Amino acid sequence: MFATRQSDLRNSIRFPLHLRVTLKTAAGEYRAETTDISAGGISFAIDNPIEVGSHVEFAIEMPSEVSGGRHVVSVMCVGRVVRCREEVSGQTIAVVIDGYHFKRL
Amino acid sequence: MVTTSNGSKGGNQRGRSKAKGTHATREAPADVSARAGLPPLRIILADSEAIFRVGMSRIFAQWEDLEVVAQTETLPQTLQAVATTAADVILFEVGLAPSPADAVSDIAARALPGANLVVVTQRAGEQETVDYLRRGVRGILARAVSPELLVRCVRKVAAGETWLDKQGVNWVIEAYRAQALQGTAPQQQLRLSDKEMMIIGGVTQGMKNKEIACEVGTTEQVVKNYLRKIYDKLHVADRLELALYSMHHRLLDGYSFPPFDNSPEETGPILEEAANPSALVPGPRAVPEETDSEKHDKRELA
Repeated sequence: MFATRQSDLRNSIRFPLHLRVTLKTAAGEYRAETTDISAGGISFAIDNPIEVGSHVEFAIEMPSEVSGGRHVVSVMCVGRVVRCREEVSGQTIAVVIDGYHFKRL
Repeated sequence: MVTTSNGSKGGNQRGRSKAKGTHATREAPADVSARAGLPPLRIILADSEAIFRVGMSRIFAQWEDLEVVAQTETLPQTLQAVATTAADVILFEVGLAPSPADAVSDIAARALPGANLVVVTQRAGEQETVDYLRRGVRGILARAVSPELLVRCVRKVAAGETWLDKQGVNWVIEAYRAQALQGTAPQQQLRLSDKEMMIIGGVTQGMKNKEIACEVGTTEQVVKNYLRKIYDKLHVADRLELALYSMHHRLLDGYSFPPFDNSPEETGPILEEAANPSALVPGPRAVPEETDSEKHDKRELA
């Protein structure tokens, strides 16, 4: 639901953080950098489109220098693609976060 | 019961009405003429009272651009219906759930793509209105709404607009304005104690409450209490939002942490665990040692 619109509601505060994300889909694995992120979802740009509505697993990397620790922390997430828009820079993808947990690497 | 347009109990009032000839269907008004040639808007009616479901069905049956595809009278039925029946609009009456806000989140999470949720309520106050909108609701409708406004609401919401009365709009604008101020000026007014900073540091380093409690030298319950206080102070909802807030505002810059035992608790490639979806879904296997508070934080997993 709301798949195409929920992210527009900006339920959570969006932070313009550029964090590395590794995304796993049925079509393959992608690496990207977030253009913005909230507790509700992320957006990023990649070359290939991803089907809207598809379920994805992804890891958001939180670098140690900003998380305040000595180790990289990853947030392991499951979610759904809610938007895939073709733009000059490639495909802008928006994914909602349905579940997550922290993982220290 | 869940009734659908294909089921024996038939939710397609429009089709039935036509067949019986009891109602003449009406063409959509000019403002929705752009939908000409498109399939009807699909509506799921979730209402605890049959009389309201019947009444609304009959109203929608009069319009050829509207179609009731399912009707439900309990929350479990509603959750099932929204997950299995494609709809453009879900009309959810709050009396159907003991905790309407939580129900709204559940429906929003389970509904098929493209659905827009409208809450039907006797009256929504400021807090409820803002909360519903934050949880993904696209419209709030008074139970005593006129048939004309009901139909208009469905069309507007299906077209991607938000349906709120003027007071509701003002409440939402105020809430977002306040939120924006909190988001952009975080440290002007808030004061965080050393212990709170330590706990934030533990969260951003991926520690569980129990681990933070060990490091800080207190109990898990105390950490939970601190976290709740921190969430309130920073106006964040959970651990992830706290971590993002902390990173964005560089909350921990220059803060000297005690020597946390920050050795990795898990090893392997980032997506090794993600390769097994069951490891990411709720349940004892996923995070056996997590606390109630952490479960709550992972509200999306619940």
